Amino acid sequence: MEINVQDIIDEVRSLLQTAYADKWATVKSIAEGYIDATETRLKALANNLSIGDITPEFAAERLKEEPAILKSELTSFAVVTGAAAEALTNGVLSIFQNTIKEITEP
Amino acid sequence: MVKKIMAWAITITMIFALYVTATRCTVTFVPKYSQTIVDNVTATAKKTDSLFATIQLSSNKNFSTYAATYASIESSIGSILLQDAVRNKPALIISQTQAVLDAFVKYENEHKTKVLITAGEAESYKLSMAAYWKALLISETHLNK
Repeated sequence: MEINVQDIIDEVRSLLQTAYADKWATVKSIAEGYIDATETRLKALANNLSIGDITPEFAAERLKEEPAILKSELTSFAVVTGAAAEALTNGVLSIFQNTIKEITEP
Repeated sequence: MVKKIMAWAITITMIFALYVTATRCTVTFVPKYSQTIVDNVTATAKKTDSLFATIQLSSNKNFSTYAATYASIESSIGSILLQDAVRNKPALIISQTQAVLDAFVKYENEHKTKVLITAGEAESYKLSMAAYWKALLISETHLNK
């Protein structure tokens, strides 16, 4: 059994770039960090499998967990973009609050 | 009729504007930044990494040697979950902390069942836990102060 790490990484990168095309500028550096870490994990798994330090069953179990890791990583995108939207909205609210204050409290 | 609707719309808008001004209203989409939680996440992530790195390099990989450390880390993650829960809009970050806890308990149980694990297994646990912790820490550090 062999894990083709590069193929998996290329597919994950392509999916992320497509799914987050409109937010890529915001999440790019974080996403690339996640992709690098995924590559490190898969390479370690492939290496340990090739030298017999882990069983195919153990490797399969860890591969089954990769979607859960990706889900947590994608949740951080939602938090990062949510925090940015919150800051922007509160900035706009503040502008209007100040304007209303200026015209109602001469 | 149209004039009445417009008058109502203007009145409601004015009331909303006065309310916003009076209450200094802000919107909340995510929890507020907490240095205490960031410190706890960083410290517990470090303890997790140290546990699996130690097992990976040690000649003694018996679960009983590390049982107390496993319990201590599990307790720390539980504490972070509680700190998350009392914040406003916690759902996303709670789901990430729960993922950390679920993975850690799974690895702990695997080690407990096998009694002995290999260096490669410990390395795999270490790298996976680092990924869960990193995603949570990125969320925590991007919250608004």
